Amino acid sequence: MNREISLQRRMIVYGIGLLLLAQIQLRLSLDAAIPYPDLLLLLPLLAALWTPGYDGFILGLLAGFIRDYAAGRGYGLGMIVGMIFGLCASALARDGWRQYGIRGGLLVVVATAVNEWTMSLFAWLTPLNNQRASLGAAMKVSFANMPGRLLSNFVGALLLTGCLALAFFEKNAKSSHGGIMSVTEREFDG
Amino acid sequence: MKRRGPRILLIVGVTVALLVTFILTALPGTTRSRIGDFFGRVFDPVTSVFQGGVDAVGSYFSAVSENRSLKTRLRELEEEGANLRLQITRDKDKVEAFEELKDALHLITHFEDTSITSAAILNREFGPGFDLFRVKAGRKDGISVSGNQTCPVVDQNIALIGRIHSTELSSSKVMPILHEAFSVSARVEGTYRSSFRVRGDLVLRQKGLCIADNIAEGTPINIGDKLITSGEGGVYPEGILIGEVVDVRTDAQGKMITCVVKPAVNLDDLRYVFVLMESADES
Repeated sequence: MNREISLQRRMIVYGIGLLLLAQIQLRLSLDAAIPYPDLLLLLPLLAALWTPGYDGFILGLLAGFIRDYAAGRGYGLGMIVGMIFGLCASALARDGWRQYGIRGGLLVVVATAVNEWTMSLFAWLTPLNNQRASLGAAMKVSFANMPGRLLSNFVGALLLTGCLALAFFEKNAKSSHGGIMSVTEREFDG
Repeated sequence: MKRRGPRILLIVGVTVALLVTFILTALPGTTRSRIGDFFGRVFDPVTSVFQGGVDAVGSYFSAVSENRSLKTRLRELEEEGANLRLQITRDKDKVEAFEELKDALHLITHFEDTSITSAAILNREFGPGFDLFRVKAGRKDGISVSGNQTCPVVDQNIALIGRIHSTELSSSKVMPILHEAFSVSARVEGTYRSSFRVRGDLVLRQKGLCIADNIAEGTPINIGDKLITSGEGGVYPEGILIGEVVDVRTDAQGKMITCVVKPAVNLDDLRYVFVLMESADES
Protein backbone atom coordinates (compact mmCIF):
# COMPACT_ATOMS: atom_id res chain seq x y z
CA MET A 1 0.00 0.00 0.00
CA ASN A 2 1.58 3.19 -1.14
CA ARG A 3 0.08 6.18 0.61
CA GLU A 4 0.31 9.27 -1.53
CA ILE A 5 -0.77 11.64 1.16
CA SER A 6 -1.02 15.26 0.16
CA LEU A 7 0.37 18.02 2.35
CA GLN A 8 -3.11 19.50 2.70
CA ARG A 9 -4.54 16.24 3.98
CA ARG A 10 -1.68 15.71 6.41
CA MET A 11 -2.08 19.21 7.75
CA ILE A 12 -5.80 18.74 8.30
CA VAL A 13 -5.41 15.32 9.92
CA TYR A 14 -2.49 16.26 12.14
CA GLY A 15 -3.87 19.72 12.96
CA ILE A 16 -7.23 18.41 14.08
CA GLY A 17 -5.57 15.38 15.67
CA LEU A 18 -3.16 17.47 17.70
CA LEU A 19 -5.89 19.76 18.98
CA LEU A 20 -8.23 16.90 19.81
CA LEU A 21 -5.59 14.72 21.44
CA ALA A 22 -4.32 17.66 23.50
CA GLN A 23 -7.85 18.26 24.77
CA ILE A 24 -8.37 14.58 25.51
CA GLN A 25 -5.07 14.37 27.40
CA LEU A 26 -5.87 17.47 29.46
CA ARG A 27 -9.26 16.02 30.24
CA LEU A 28 -7.84 12.61 31.15
CA SER A 29 -5.38 14.27 33.51
CA LEU A 30 -8.33 15.52 35.59
CA ASP A 31 -9.50 11.95 36.24
CA ALA A 32 -6.11 10.58 37.20
CA ALA A 33 -7.37 7.44 38.96
CA ILE A 34 -5.74 5.14 36.38
CA PRO A 35 -2.64 5.69 34.20
CA TYR A 36 -3.56 7.32 30.92
CA PRO A 37 -1.58 7.42 27.66
CA ASP A 38 0.67 10.36 26.94
CA LEU A 39 -1.03 11.16 23.65
CA LEU A 40 1.08 14.25 23.04
CA LEU A 41 4.18 12.05 23.15
CA LEU A 42 2.70 9.32 20.98
CA LEU A 43 1.33 11.50 18.18
CA PRO A 44 4.71 12.73 16.83
CA LEU A 45 6.13 9.20 17.05
CA LEU A 46 3.35 7.53 15.13
CA ALA A 47 2.93 10.41 12.70
CA ALA A 48 6.63 10.18 11.85
CA LEU A 49 6.29 6.45 11.24
CA TRP A 50 3.20 6.96 9.16
CA THR A 51 4.37 9.88 7.07
CA PRO A 52 8.11 10.32 7.49
CA GLY A 53 9.78 13.59 6.64
CA TYR A 54 9.41 16.63 8.83
CA ASP A 55 5.91 15.75 10.07
CA GLY A 56 7.19 14.14 13.28
CA PHE A 57 9.67 16.95 13.83
CA ILE A 58 7.03 19.67 13.56
CA LEU A 59 4.39 17.73 15.48
CA GLY A 60 6.97 17.01 18.20
CA LEU A 61 7.64 20.71 18.57
CA LEU A 62 3.94 21.62 18.68
CA ALA A 63 2.94 18.80 21.02
CA GLY A 64 5.91 19.61 23.25
CA PHE A 65 4.84 23.23 23.40
CA ILE A 66 1.36 22.23 24.56
CA ARG A 67 2.88 19.99 27.25
CA ASP A 68 5.14 22.83 28.35
CA TYR A 69 2.23 25.25 28.39
CA ALA A 70 -0.08 22.95 30.32
CA ALA A 71 2.19 21.62 33.04
CA GLY A 72 5.84 22.42 32.34
CA ARG A 73 8.25 24.37 34.49
CA GLY A 74 9.27 26.51 31.52
CA TYR A 75 9.02 26.48 27.73
CA GLY A 76 11.34 24.47 25.52
CA LEU A 77 12.08 21.22 27.29
CA GLY A 78 9.00 19.36 26.10
CA MET A 79 9.58 20.79 22.63
CA ILE A 80 13.16 19.49 22.47
CA VAL A 81 12.10 16.03 23.63
CA GLY A 82 9.17 15.95 21.18
CA MET A 83 11.33 17.16 18.32
CA ILE A 84 14.04 14.58 18.92
CA PHE A 85 11.53 11.76 19.22
CA GLY A 86 9.89 12.90 15.97
CA LEU A 87 13.24 12.92 14.17
CA CYS A 88 14.24 9.50 15.52
CA ALA A 89 10.90 8.02 14.51
CA SER A 90 11.25 9.50 11.01
CA ALA A 91 14.68 7.95 10.65
CA LEU A 92 13.29 4.56 11.70
CA ALA A 93 10.24 4.62 9.43
CA ARG A 94 10.04 1.80 6.89
CA ASP A 95 7.39 0.39 4.57
CA GLY A 96 4.88 -2.22 5.60
CA TRP A 97 2.61 -2.96 8.52
CA ARG A 98 4.99 -5.54 9.93
CA GLN A 99 7.82 -3.04 10.12
CA TYR A 100 5.41 -0.44 11.49
CA GLY A 101 4.36 -2.85 14.24
CA ILE A 102 7.89 -3.83 15.21
CA ARG A 103 9.47 -0.40 15.00
CA GLY A 104 6.42 1.35 16.42
CA GLY A 105 6.33 -1.02 19.39
CA LEU A 106 10.01 -0.54 20.05
CA LEU A 107 9.70 3.21 19.68
CA VAL A 108 6.83 3.40 22.15
CA VAL A 109 8.83 1.43 24.74
CA VAL A 110 12.06 3.38 24.22
CA ALA A 111 10.36 6.78 23.96
CA THR A 112 8.29 6.18 27.10
CA ALA A 113 11.34 5.11 29.08
CA VAL A 114 13.63 7.82 27.72
CA ASN A 115 10.97 10.48 28.22
CA GLU A 116 10.39 9.40 31.81
CA TRP A 117 14.08 9.31 32.69
CA THR A 118 15.04 12.42 30.74
CA MET A 119 12.29 14.49 32.28
CA SER A 120 13.12 13.14 35.74
CA LEU A 121 16.75 14.09 35.19
CA PHE A 122 15.86 17.57 33.92
CA ALA A 123 13.44 18.07 36.80
CA TRP A 124 16.23 17.10 39.16
CA LEU A 125 18.74 19.37 37.42
CA THR A 126 16.38 22.36 37.52
CA PRO A 127 14.76 22.32 40.96
CA LEU A 128 12.16 24.97 41.67
CA ASN A 129 13.76 25.79 45.00
CA ASN A 130 16.98 25.08 46.85
CA GLN A 131 15.91 21.68 48.18
CA ARG A 132 15.93 18.60 46.05
CA ALA A 133 15.80 14.86 46.48
CA SER A 134 18.69 12.65 45.47
CA LEU A 135 19.00 11.64 41.84
CA GLY A 136 18.68 8.02 42.94
CA ALA A 137 15.29 8.72 44.51
CA ALA A 138 14.10 10.54 41.39
CA MET A 139 15.13 7.62 39.19
CA LYS A 140 13.58 5.11 41.59
CA VAL A 141 10.25 6.90 41.32
CA SER A 142 10.61 6.89 37.53
CA PHE A 143 11.19 3.14 37.52
CA ALA A 144 8.21 2.56 39.79
CA ASN A 145 5.91 4.44 37.42
CA MET A 146 7.24 2.77 34.30
CA PRO A 147 5.00 -0.34 33.97
CA GLY A 148 1.78 1.67 34.16
CA ARG A 149 3.04 4.24 31.71
CA LEU A 150 4.25 1.61 29.26
CA LEU A 151 0.97 -0.24 29.33
CA SER A 152 -1.13 2.89 28.92
CA ASN A 153 1.11 4.18 26.12
CA PHE A 154 0.82 0.86 24.31
CA VAL A 155 -2.96 1.01 24.47
CA GLY A 156 -2.85 4.65 23.38
CA ALA A 157 -0.53 3.82 20.47
CA LEU A 158 -2.91 1.09 19.28
CA LEU A 159 -5.88 3.44 19.40
CA LEU A 160 -3.92 6.18 17.69
CA THR A 161 -2.80 3.79 14.94
CA GLY A 162 -6.44 2.93 14.31
CA CYS A 163 -7.31 6.62 14.09
CA LEU A 164 -4.44 7.33 11.68
CA ALA A 165 -5.42 4.34 9.53
CA LEU A 166 -8.94 5.69 9.29
CA ALA A 167 -7.82 9.26 8.68
CA PHE A 168 -5.45 8.26 5.88
CA PHE A 169 -7.66 5.54 4.47
CA GLU A 170 -7.76 5.43 0.69
CA LYS A 171 -10.20 3.16 -1.03
CA ASN A 172 -8.06 2.59 -4.12
CA ALA A 173 -4.65 2.72 -2.52
CA LYS A 174 -2.13 0.69 -4.49
CA SER A 175 -0.04 -1.65 -2.44
CA SER A 176 3.32 -1.57 -4.13
CA HIS A 177 5.36 -2.22 -1.04
CA GLY A 178 2.85 -4.06 1.10
CA GLY A 179 3.09 -1.51 3.90
CA ILE A 180 2.93 2.09 4.96
CA MET A 181 4.66 4.48 2.61
CA SER A 182 4.71 8.20 2.17
CA VAL A 183 5.89 10.40 -0.60
CA THR A 184 7.69 12.50 1.96
CA GLU A 185 9.97 9.67 3.00
CA ARG A 186 12.38 10.44 0.19
CA GLU A 187 12.31 14.13 1.13
CA PHE A 188 13.63 13.29 4.57
CA ASP A 189 16.30 10.95 3.30
CA GLY A 190 17.44 13.61 0.89
CA MET B 1 24.15 13.49 -3.30
CA LYS B 2 22.44 13.99 0.05
CA ARG B 3 22.86 17.39 1.65
CA ARG B 4 22.64 16.77 5.36
CA GLY B 5 24.57 19.85 6.45
CA PRO B 6 21.75 22.42 6.38
CA ARG B 7 19.34 19.99 8.04
CA ILE B 8 21.71 19.19 10.86
CA LEU B 9 22.40 22.90 11.30
CA LEU B 10 18.66 23.56 11.47
CA ILE B 11 18.16 20.87 14.11
CA VAL B 12 21.12 22.05 16.18
CA GLY B 13 19.95 25.67 15.86
CA VAL B 14 16.41 24.82 16.97
CA THR B 15 17.72 22.74 19.89
CA VAL B 16 19.99 25.53 21.09
CA ALA B 17 17.18 28.08 20.74
CA LEU B 18 14.83 25.85 22.73
CA LEU B 19 17.41 25.26 25.45
CA VAL B 20 17.92 29.02 25.78
CA THR B 21 14.15 29.48 25.88
CA PHE B 22 13.87 26.88 28.62
CA ILE B 23 16.60 28.47 30.71
CA LEU B 24 14.99 31.90 30.31
CA THR B 25 11.45 30.79 30.99
CA ALA B 26 12.28 28.43 33.86
CA LEU B 27 13.59 31.36 35.88
CA PRO B 28 10.97 33.14 37.97
CA GLY B 29 9.48 36.36 36.59
CA THR B 30 10.75 35.97 33.05
CA THR B 31 9.32 35.98 29.55
CA ARG B 32 7.09 32.96 30.03
CA SER B 33 4.02 35.10 30.39
CA ARG B 34 4.29 36.61 26.92
CA ILE B 35 4.47 33.23 25.23
CA GLY B 36 1.71 31.81 27.39
CA ASP B 37 -0.49 34.88 27.08
CA PHE B 38 -0.52 34.63 23.32
CA PHE B 39 -1.14 30.89 23.21
CA GLY B 40 -3.57 30.89 26.14
CA ARG B 41 -5.92 33.33 24.43
CA VAL B 42 -6.73 30.67 21.87
CA PHE B 43 -6.06 27.44 23.70
CA ASP B 44 -7.73 28.01 27.07
CA PRO B 45 -11.19 28.83 25.66
CA VAL B 46 -10.98 25.71 23.46
CA THR B 47 -10.06 23.64 26.53
CA SER B 48 -12.95 25.12 28.51
CA VAL B 49 -15.44 24.44 25.72
CA PHE B 50 -14.16 20.87 25.29
CA GLN B 51 -14.29 20.10 29.00
CA GLY B 52 -17.68 21.77 29.27
CA GLY B 53 -18.92 19.56 26.42
CA VAL B 54 -17.58 16.40 28.03
CA ASP B 55 -19.13 17.39 31.36
CA ALA B 56 -22.45 18.17 29.69
CA VAL B 57 -22.58 14.77 27.99
CA GLY B 58 -21.56 13.04 31.22
CA SER B 59 -24.11 15.02 33.20
CA TYR B 60 -26.88 14.10 30.78
CA PHE B 61 -26.36 10.38 31.31
CA SER B 62 -25.68 10.61 35.01
CA ALA B 63 -28.74 12.84 35.56
CA VAL B 64 -31.08 9.99 34.69
CA SER B 65 -29.48 7.55 37.11
CA GLU B 66 -29.02 10.08 39.86
CA ASN B 67 -32.50 11.53 39.69
CA ARG B 68 -33.84 9.41 42.53
CA SER B 69 -30.98 10.12 44.89
CA LEU B 70 -31.19 13.82 44.02
CA LYS B 71 -34.83 13.93 45.05
CA THR B 72 -33.98 12.39 48.41
CA ARG B 73 -31.05 14.75 48.82
CA LEU B 74 -33.22 17.73 47.89
CA ARG B 75 -35.68 16.84 50.62
CA GLU B 76 -32.85 16.59 53.12
CA LEU B 77 -31.39 19.90 51.99
CA GLU B 78 -34.74 21.65 52.27
CA GLU B 79 -35.02 20.40 55.82
CA GLU B 80 -31.46 21.45 56.55
CA GLY B 81 -32.13 24.85 54.97
CA ALA B 82 -35.12 25.39 57.22
CA ASN B 83 -33.06 24.53 60.28
CA LEU B 84 -30.27 26.85 59.17
CA ARG B 85 -32.69 29.73 58.61
CA LEU B 86 -33.98 29.18 62.11
CA GLN B 87 -30.44 29.15 63.45
CA ILE B 88 -29.57 32.36 61.56
CA THR B 89 -32.52 34.09 63.16
CA ARG B 90 -31.39 32.89 66.59
CA ASP B 91 -27.77 33.87 65.98
CA LYS B 92 -28.50 37.26 64.49
CA ASP B 93 -28.24 38.95 67.84
CA LYS B 94 -24.98 37.18 68.58
CA VAL B 95 -23.46 38.29 65.26
CA GLU B 96 -24.40 41.89 65.93
CA ALA B 97 -22.89 41.68 69.37
CA PHE B 98 -19.70 40.15 67.92
CA GLU B 99 -19.37 42.89 65.30
CA GLU B 100 -19.77 45.56 67.96
CA LEU B 101 -17.18 43.86 70.15
CA LYS B 102 -14.81 43.46 67.18
CA ASP B 103 -15.07 47.12 66.29
CA ALA B 104 -14.50 48.06 69.86
CA LEU B 105 -11.46 45.86 70.39
CA HIS B 106 -10.10 46.11 66.83
CA LEU B 107 -9.99 42.37 66.50
CA ILE B 108 -8.70 40.96 63.26
CA THR B 109 -10.17 37.76 61.93
CA HIS B 110 -8.29 35.37 59.71
CA PHE B 111 -8.25 36.23 56.02
CA GLU B 112 -9.89 39.58 56.63
CA ASP B 113 -7.54 41.33 54.22
CA THR B 114 -7.78 38.57 51.71
CA SER B 115 -9.92 38.32 48.64
CA ILE B 116 -10.76 34.98 47.08
CA THR B 117 -10.95 34.07 43.41
CA SER B 118 -12.38 30.76 42.31
CA ALA B 119 -10.87 28.90 39.37
CA ALA B 120 -11.61 25.70 37.50
CA ILE B 121 -8.75 23.27 37.01
CA LEU B 122 -7.87 23.03 33.31
CA ASN B 123 -5.43 20.16 33.61
CA ARG B 124 -3.37 18.22 36.12
CA GLU B 125 0.28 17.22 36.05
CA PHE B 126 1.47 14.77 33.35
CA GLY B 127 4.54 13.28 35.00
CA PRO B 128 8.14 14.22 35.79
CA GLY B 129 9.05 17.66 34.49
CA PHE B 130 5.38 18.36 33.77
CA ASP B 131 4.42 18.41 37.41
CA LEU B 132 2.34 21.57 37.80
CA PHE B 133 -1.36 21.97 37.17
CA ARG B 134 -3.15 24.78 35.43
CA VAL B 135 -6.18 26.71 36.68
CA LYS B 136 -8.43 29.09 34.82
CA ALA B 137 -7.61 32.34 36.56
CA GLY B 138 -4.73 34.60 35.68
CA ARG B 139 -3.43 38.12 35.75
CA LYS B 140 -6.68 39.55 34.47
CA ASP B 141 -8.30 38.14 37.63
CA GLY B 142 -5.75 39.95 39.76
CA ILE B 143 -3.42 37.02 40.42
CA SER B 144 0.21 38.02 40.30
CA VAL B 145 3.45 36.33 41.30
CA SER B 146 6.75 38.11 41.72
CA GLY B 147 9.91 37.11 43.51
CA ASN B 148 8.96 35.73 46.91
CA GLN B 149 5.38 36.92 46.62
CA THR B 150 2.83 34.31 45.63
CA CYS B 151 -0.77 33.38 46.34
CA PRO B 152 -1.94 30.37 48.38
CA VAL B 153 -4.45 28.06 46.73
CA VAL B 154 -7.08 26.35 48.88
CA ASP B 155 -10.20 24.22 48.45
CA GLN B 156 -13.74 25.04 49.51
CA ASN B 157 -12.94 24.03 53.09
CA ILE B 158 -9.90 26.37 53.22
CA ALA B 159 -7.55 23.38 53.15
CA LEU B 160 -4.21 24.06 51.52
CA ILE B 161 -3.80 22.82 47.95
CA GLY B 162 -0.58 24.61 47.01
CA ARG B 163 0.58 27.94 45.71
CA ILE B 164 0.59 29.82 42.44
CA HIS B 165 3.82 29.10 40.56
CA SER B 166 3.39 31.38 37.54
CA THR B 167 0.63 33.31 35.88
CA GLU B 168 -0.48 34.01 32.35
CA LEU B 169 -3.16 36.42 31.31
CA SER B 170 -6.08 34.07 31.74
CA SER B 171 -4.60 31.07 33.52
CA SER B 172 -2.02 30.16 36.16
CA LYS B 173 0.11 27.19 37.06
CA VAL B 174 -0.22 25.82 40.58
CA MET B 175 2.47 23.99 42.50
CA PRO B 176 0.62 21.38 44.59
CA ILE B 177 1.36 20.72 48.26
CA LEU B 178 2.88 17.33 47.33
CA HIS B 179 5.44 18.87 44.97
CA GLU B 180 9.01 18.45 46.21
CA ALA B 181 9.66 22.18 45.83
CA PHE B 182 6.68 23.14 48.00
CA SER B 183 7.19 24.16 51.61
CA VAL B 184 5.14 25.98 54.21
CA SER B 185 5.62 26.98 57.83
CA ALA B 186 3.22 25.03 60.05
CA ARG B 187 2.17 24.41 63.62
CA VAL B 188 -0.14 22.03 65.42
CA GLU B 189 -3.73 23.28 65.53
CA GLY B 190 -4.69 24.52 68.95
CA THR B 191 -1.14 25.13 70.16
CA TYR B 192 1.17 28.09 69.84
CA ARG B 193 4.45 26.16 70.15
CA SER B 194 7.31 26.76 67.74
CA SER B 195 6.55 26.31 64.09
CA PHE B 196 8.19 23.83 61.72
CA ARG B 197 8.22 23.11 58.04
CA VAL B 198 5.87 20.97 55.99
CA ARG B 199 7.15 20.17 52.53
CA GLY B 200 6.63 17.89 49.57
CA ASP B 201 8.75 14.78 49.21
CA LEU B 202 9.49 13.01 45.95
CA VAL B 203 9.01 9.49 47.33
CA LEU B 204 6.06 10.20 49.66
CA ARG B 205 4.33 12.05 46.83
CA GLN B 206 3.60 8.72 45.17
CA LYS B 207 1.49 7.82 48.21
CA GLY B 208 -0.21 11.22 48.39
CA LEU B 209 1.72 12.24 51.51
CA CYS B 210 4.16 14.99 52.47
CA ILE B 211 6.68 15.46 55.27
CA ALA B 212 7.15 17.75 58.27
CA ASP B 213 10.71 18.54 59.32
CA ASN B 214 12.78 21.20 61.09
CA ILE B 215 10.84 20.28 64.22
CA ALA B 216 12.28 21.78 67.38
CA GLU B 217 13.06 19.36 70.19
CA GLY B 218 10.20 18.99 72.60
CA THR B 219 7.49 20.03 70.18
CA PRO B 220 4.52 17.85 71.08
CA ILE B 221 3.28 16.19 67.92
CA ASN B 222 1.22 13.03 67.92
CA ILE B 223 -0.37 10.91 65.27
CA GLY B 224 -3.77 12.37 64.45
CA ASP B 225 -2.78 15.99 65.17
CA LYS B 226 -4.01 18.51 62.67
CA LEU B 227 -1.48 20.92 61.20
CA ILE B 228 -2.27 24.47 60.12
CA THR B 229 -0.21 27.25 58.56
CA SER B 230 1.64 29.30 61.17
CA GLY B 231 1.51 32.54 59.20
CA GLU B 232 5.29 32.95 59.41
CA GLY B 233 7.01 33.98 56.23
CA GLY B 234 4.13 36.15 55.07
CA VAL B 235 3.09 34.02 52.11
CA TYR B 236 0.37 31.93 53.70
CA PRO B 237 -2.11 33.46 56.13
CA GLU B 238 -2.28 31.83 59.52
CA GLY B 239 -4.83 29.10 60.12
CA ILE B 240 -5.10 27.35 56.76
CA LEU B 241 -5.56 23.63 57.31
CA ILE B 242 -2.63 21.62 55.92
CA GLY B 243 -3.33 18.05 56.97
CA GLU B 244 -3.06 15.40 59.61
CA VAL B 245 -0.02 13.67 61.08
CA VAL B 246 -0.14 9.98 60.13
CA ASP B 247 3.32 8.88 61.21
CA VAL B 248 6.07 10.13 63.51
CA ARG B 249 9.65 9.15 62.67
CA THR B 250 12.26 9.09 65.38
CA ASP B 251 16.00 8.61 65.39
CA ALA B 252 18.01 6.00 67.36
CA GLN B 253 17.82 8.11 70.54
CA GLY B 254 14.06 8.33 70.26
CA LYS B 255 14.06 11.99 69.28
CA MET B 256 11.42 12.96 66.78
CA ILE B 257 12.98 14.04 63.51
CA THR B 258 10.17 14.09 60.95
CA CYS B 259 6.45 13.48 60.63
CA VAL B 260 4.53 12.12 57.69
CA VAL B 261 1.53 14.30 56.89
CA LYS B 262 -1.58 13.40 54.95
CA PRO B 263 -2.88 16.57 53.28
CA ALA B 264 -6.42 17.55 54.23
CA VAL B 265 -7.27 18.15 50.62
CA ASN B 266 -8.02 15.23 48.31
CA LEU B 267 -6.09 16.27 45.22
CA ASP B 268 -7.63 13.53 43.08
CA ASP B 269 -11.16 14.86 43.37
CA LEU B 270 -10.45 18.52 42.81
CA ARG B 271 -12.20 20.39 40.03
CA TYR B 272 -12.26 23.91 41.47
CA VAL B 273 -9.77 25.79 43.60
CA PHE B 274 -9.76 29.13 45.38
CA VAL B 275 -6.86 31.54 45.16
CA LEU B 276 -6.29 33.75 48.21
CA MET B 277 -5.06 37.22 47.28
CA GLU B 278 -4.31 40.26 49.32
CA SER B 279 -7.10 42.78 48.91
CA ALA B 280 -6.31 45.68 46.62
CA ASP B 281 -7.50 48.22 49.17
CA GLU B 282 -5.28 46.83 51.90
CA SER B 283 -2.85 49.73 51.76
